[in-house]
Amino acid sequence: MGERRPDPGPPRLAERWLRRFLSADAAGRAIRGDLREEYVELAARRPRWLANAWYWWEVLRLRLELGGTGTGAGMIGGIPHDLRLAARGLLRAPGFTLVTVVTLALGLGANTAIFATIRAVILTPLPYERPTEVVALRNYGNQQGATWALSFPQFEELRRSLGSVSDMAAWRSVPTAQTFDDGRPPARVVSAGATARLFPMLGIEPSLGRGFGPADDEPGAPRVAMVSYGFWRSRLAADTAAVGRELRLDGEGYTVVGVLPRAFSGDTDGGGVLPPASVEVWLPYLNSPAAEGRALPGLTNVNPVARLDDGVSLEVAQAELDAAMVEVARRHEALDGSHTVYVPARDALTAGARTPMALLWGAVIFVLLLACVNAANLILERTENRGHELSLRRALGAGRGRVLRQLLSESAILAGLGGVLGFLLGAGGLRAMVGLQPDPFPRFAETSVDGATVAFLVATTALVALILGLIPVLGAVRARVAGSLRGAHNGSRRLGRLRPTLVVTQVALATVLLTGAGLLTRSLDRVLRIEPGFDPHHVVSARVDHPTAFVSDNWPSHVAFVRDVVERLRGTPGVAAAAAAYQDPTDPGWNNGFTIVRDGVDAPTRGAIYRPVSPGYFAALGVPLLDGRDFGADDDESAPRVAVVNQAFVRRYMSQIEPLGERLRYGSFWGMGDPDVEIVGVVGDVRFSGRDADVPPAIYFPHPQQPVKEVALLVRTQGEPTAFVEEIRRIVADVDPTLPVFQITTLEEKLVDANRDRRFLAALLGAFALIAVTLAGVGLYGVLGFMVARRTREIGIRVALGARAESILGLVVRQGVTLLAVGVAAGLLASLLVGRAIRSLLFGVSPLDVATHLSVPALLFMVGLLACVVPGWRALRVDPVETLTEE
Amino acid sequence: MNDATTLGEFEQLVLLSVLRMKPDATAIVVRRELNQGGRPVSRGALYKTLERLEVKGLLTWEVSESTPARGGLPRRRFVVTPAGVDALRSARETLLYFWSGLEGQLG
Repeated sequence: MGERRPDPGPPRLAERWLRRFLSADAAGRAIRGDLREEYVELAARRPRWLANAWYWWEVLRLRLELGGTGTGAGMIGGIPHDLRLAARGLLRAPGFTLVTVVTLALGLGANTAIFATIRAVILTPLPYERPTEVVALRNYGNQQGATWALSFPQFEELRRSLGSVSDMAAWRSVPTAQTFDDGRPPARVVSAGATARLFPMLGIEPSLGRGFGPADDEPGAPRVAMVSYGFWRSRLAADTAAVGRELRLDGEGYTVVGVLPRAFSGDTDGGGVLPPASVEVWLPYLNSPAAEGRALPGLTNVNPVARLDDGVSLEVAQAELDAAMVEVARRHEALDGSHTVYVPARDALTAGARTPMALLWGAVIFVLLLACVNAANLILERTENRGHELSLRRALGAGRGRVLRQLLSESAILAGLGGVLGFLLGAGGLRAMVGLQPDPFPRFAETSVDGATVAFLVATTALVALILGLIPVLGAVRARVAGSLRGAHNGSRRLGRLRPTLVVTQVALATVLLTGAGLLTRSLDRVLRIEPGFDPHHVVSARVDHPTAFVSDNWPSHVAFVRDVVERLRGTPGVAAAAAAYQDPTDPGWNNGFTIVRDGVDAPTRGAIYRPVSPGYFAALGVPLLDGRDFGADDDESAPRVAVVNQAFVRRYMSQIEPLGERLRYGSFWGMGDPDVEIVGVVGDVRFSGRDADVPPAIYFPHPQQPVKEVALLVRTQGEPTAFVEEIRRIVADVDPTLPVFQITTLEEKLVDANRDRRFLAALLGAFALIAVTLAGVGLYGVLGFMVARRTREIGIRVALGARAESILGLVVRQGVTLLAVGVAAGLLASLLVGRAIRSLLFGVSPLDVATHLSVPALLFMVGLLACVVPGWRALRVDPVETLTEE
Repeated sequence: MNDATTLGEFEQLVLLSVLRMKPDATAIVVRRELNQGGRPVSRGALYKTLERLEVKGLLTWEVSESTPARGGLPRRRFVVTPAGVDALRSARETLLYFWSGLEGQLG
């Protein structure tokens, strides 16, 4: 070694790199020493640059040959080697591996399914150009939560006056009947009228043909139509020559000019505010049946959609709208107390789904945490059992990093397998969820496991692997070689303390989930206990649709048709009662405006749900007549106009006066003059907006005085109602073979369906809570079993000293109960917060519901005591002689 | 004799080299010995084999004094454990058994 260069030293960077991928223990340091020694030798004989190059080359080769994982990782073997070793180890413990993998798969699968759901329902952008600028206009009334559309004159006025929106259009959907020349039975088609700007404004380009131009939306223009992608595929055989073909809807011919793109298709109903993708045929508004009665100011049935101008905030736009509405209300009647607001398109679609989605996501995160804790417990137990093996390996020179890497490899394999199985469970669960309930939320039916979901699963799995890997590491790193070799479990005492903590966490998590599920289930139960206000049993509902043109031109014959069909139904054997109504009693219907005559000429316009029904409707549905009289056969088109109101109407508008004999001024639907309507009766409230919603004021009209083109035939049967469906079809066809019968269902089904989101949430959360309780029970069982195994010697001594069975059992149960109590207490505290967060989803149940908060701990204690049984039994079987002579 | 102590051919050569170089069997020396014996081996492969033998309990090492050239980094001297010696003996016996009687054919 020359004096000029006392210690040349290898290239610093290469040395640092070497240090990074070798372990920091003696073995790793010795390897660095070897390289350095050889480098110094070489540098003494050869030029420095050559030695440096050699060093770099050796470090690089070493890196490739050892395949280390960087920072502090073990020194030799590489990841594939570690994984192979770990896999072999896991195969030797199939029970442990299976239980751990299944546990993790439950957590990961639940997360996969819910993430996919959230993605479809909330995260997927709307199929519009710059969707954040798109807003819908809604009227919010003074009735709680009720919203409704605007009238066409209001829309026209706003379209002309608003400056903060760059474009504005409107739509209205109406059912129509498509008839065929070739003798096929008529089919029902959901059609909608759209003003010409609707699709250009949303940035939806036809995939075939053209969209509507301004000329199409002029009165008297040639009748044209755009069809949905689904309609084009199913009814027009995906024929590219379909453009130019004629469709017959409600007896009118329409020429197909365009096909909407596939992106704008599906079951989505747009939250009833955005143009629904489920509409099959779009017609220019003014030349469609949707425009019928549009001049009537009280007929609020068009849905305006607008695009905010560049850079205009929602607040600014709303301020302008508020000002404009004052003017609109002055010139066109507006409902008293209503407030017109912009609803961002995304909110319109997802507002109702956000809290449930957040709740479900919270729930599955809890399930995953529980699964992780359980897996961690299992892994800890395994580490305990292998304490001796691991210590031996360290004593034989395996570096600490080396042992850690093997433990991490095991957790990576376990999490990886859990992820794969979780993917299958998640995809299967998702399919089951969609099958269980196709549309609890908008766009839910479009849910699928896509790339982003898989990426989410992979990331979550990696996180789980890391967490699980770190848990035994906590113990393994500190395991004292010498202590473990003596056969005692000194090194793992730390693990012994960790496990009860984990179990307490599990019990707490399970408590929270169970409480959430309990509150939702009780809410559902409360909702179902509420009387709907009518008797839904054995009632079939089937809709019949008369072409609009036919109804407006032939009012008497339409009335006669409905009367005829109802009479024939009543005369059919097996029918207890029959009636017709514009909407069946589970349909919320819509608000229309009216004034109370006694309030004078300037009376405020009131809102009430508009419900034409045939005579005999109340008796057939079991709606009680509380005052006055029912409609009779005499209340026909030539008789004085009459109405029956519900109790909510009386409470809202006539609480101080006798409603019978009061007169209402009501815009007649078909514009046949608007004679005043006299209230002749009061009936009980029917919960058409759902059993969990307030009952809005409603006005019933005799159908002959307010004929509507579409009616629901309601038939109460003596036997099984579904057996009667064909009879209804036959009777309608006998009277008029050109009319389609559709939406055939029973009212009981509709009632069940009405609470589908509640049911869905309660069912899912219940399932997650069940998993949680099971996992917590297994965890408790594990830790108690472990405790008994650890204290075998102590128990043996106690038995030898004459301890009785109860006291031995008490030892186990006491520990179990302590863990349970701490966990439940922590969980109850946390569930108070959760209860507050989900308040909006509850019905008739306080977040502090006593019954729930008592029964959840009770259930957990029951499960917990079950988990004590086997360990306790094992403790009782400890043979003092055997345990004391063992060592 | 179980799997753990069945020796691969290269493992035998490494153990034998360690024994031959005793008591100075550092990794550098063992690698040179293998090179001289006609079995050149890469640095990484040697360390891996040493590690594997260590895991099998056939080899152990002790830390010996550092030298200035090593910049204060430790030096490991490898030692074949009694189990390692047993394994080598057994491997030899196995080989001898299979070689015996074949002198005529193999010369």
